[in-house]
Amino acid sequence: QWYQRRVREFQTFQHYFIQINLSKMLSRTCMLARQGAKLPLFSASTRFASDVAETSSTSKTGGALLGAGIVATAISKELIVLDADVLAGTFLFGCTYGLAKKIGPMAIESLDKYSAGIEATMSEGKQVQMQAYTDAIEEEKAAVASLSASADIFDIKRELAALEVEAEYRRRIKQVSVEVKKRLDYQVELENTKKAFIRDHIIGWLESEVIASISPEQEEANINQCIASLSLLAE
Amino acid sequence: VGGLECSRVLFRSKQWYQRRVRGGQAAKEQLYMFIQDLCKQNLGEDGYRYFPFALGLFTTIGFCNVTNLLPYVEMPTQIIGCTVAMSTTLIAGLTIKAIAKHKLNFASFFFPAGAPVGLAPLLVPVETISFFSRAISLGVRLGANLTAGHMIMHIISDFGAQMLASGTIGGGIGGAFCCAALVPITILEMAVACVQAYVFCMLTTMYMKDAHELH
Repeated sequence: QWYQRRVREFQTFQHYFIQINLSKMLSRTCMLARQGAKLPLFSASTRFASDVAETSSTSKTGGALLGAGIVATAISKELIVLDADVLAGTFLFGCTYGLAKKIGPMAIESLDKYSAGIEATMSEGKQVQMQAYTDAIEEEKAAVASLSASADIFDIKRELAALEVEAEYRRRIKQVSVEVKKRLDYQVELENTKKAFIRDHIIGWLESEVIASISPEQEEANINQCIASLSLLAE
Repeated sequence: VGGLECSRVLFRSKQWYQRRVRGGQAAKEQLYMFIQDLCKQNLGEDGYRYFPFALGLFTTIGFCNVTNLLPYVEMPTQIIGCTVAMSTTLIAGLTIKAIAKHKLNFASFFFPAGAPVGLAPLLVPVETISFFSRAISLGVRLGANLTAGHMIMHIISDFGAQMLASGTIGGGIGGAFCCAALVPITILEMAVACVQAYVFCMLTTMYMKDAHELH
């Protein structure tokens, strides 16, 4: 009984071990098929399926021929009985496949659009934050660019100050020259005035002396002479 | 199975914040929001508490209807007895709920507001029969549509199979015509399977609204 129990346990373990490994192999096979790898049909393990597929010379129609052979055997042995339900089922699967081919891409597109809308809504906050950071970075860059002009501004201000100093210097030079000229002009005017006084005084003195030096006999003779000259001119 | 699928949809839908939404999940969410809008439209803001029931009902009936199309498969929704039992149970439950909520005011359901009182002897029996016939019409609509479609498919496919099996040229041509006719019928049956589930769910929500608000 102990032995029989152990045998039953081992058989159960074997059953589940095979099932688990079969399911793992099937899932690995599906994964590789989805990736586009070529699958050898009679390989013990699919772990190196891609390496085996590159050197394998299995034809592409092998799977389809196997399937067709199985179906033909099943029909011939009446495992699949061809009746109305089989025809209806065939058309059902055919129509499902056709609809999936026709409508599938449109449905996928609409679902992807829906998913993208949800992702956009969920990442809206993140996008706004990213845009804010990008704008802040651009503003900082612009600020740095504007600060580079401040060195030129200092030079310009320095030049302006120098120009103002030069202008003030020239203004003062002119002012000094004007003042000096005024004083010189005053001195000239003073000398001219003195000379004028002297000249006028001398002229007055001369006239008075000349007049004083003229005797009455000379004055009378001069007058007679003048009358004679006028009579002569009148003639 | 439909209930399990509904639970899986609800459970998965809670996880959508945590990972990227993929195609299958997006389709389930579309279905989820479709039924949610149906409940909100018919039952208002208070209708969200009936949403799990509506989603489970739609998923169950839809799954049964679509699976019914497979050959050698017969699901409960094709059996009129089953569908009528389902609808009768629903209507009975809603009636009990309405009576428990509105008590004697439930009788006002059988006399439409604004109708002249003189027509009461005519209107009340008509309204009563109409109310109780809902139980049968809801179930028969579902079962009869599926049965009729299945029967048409069976007749045409049987005809086609026999003509193809006859081995004659005429039989081959006739079989080809039957096969050509089978394509639109199959597509129609697929559409009817989905639409009938939606109609059942929609009418159930409308009857729930009537039980809640009477009119």
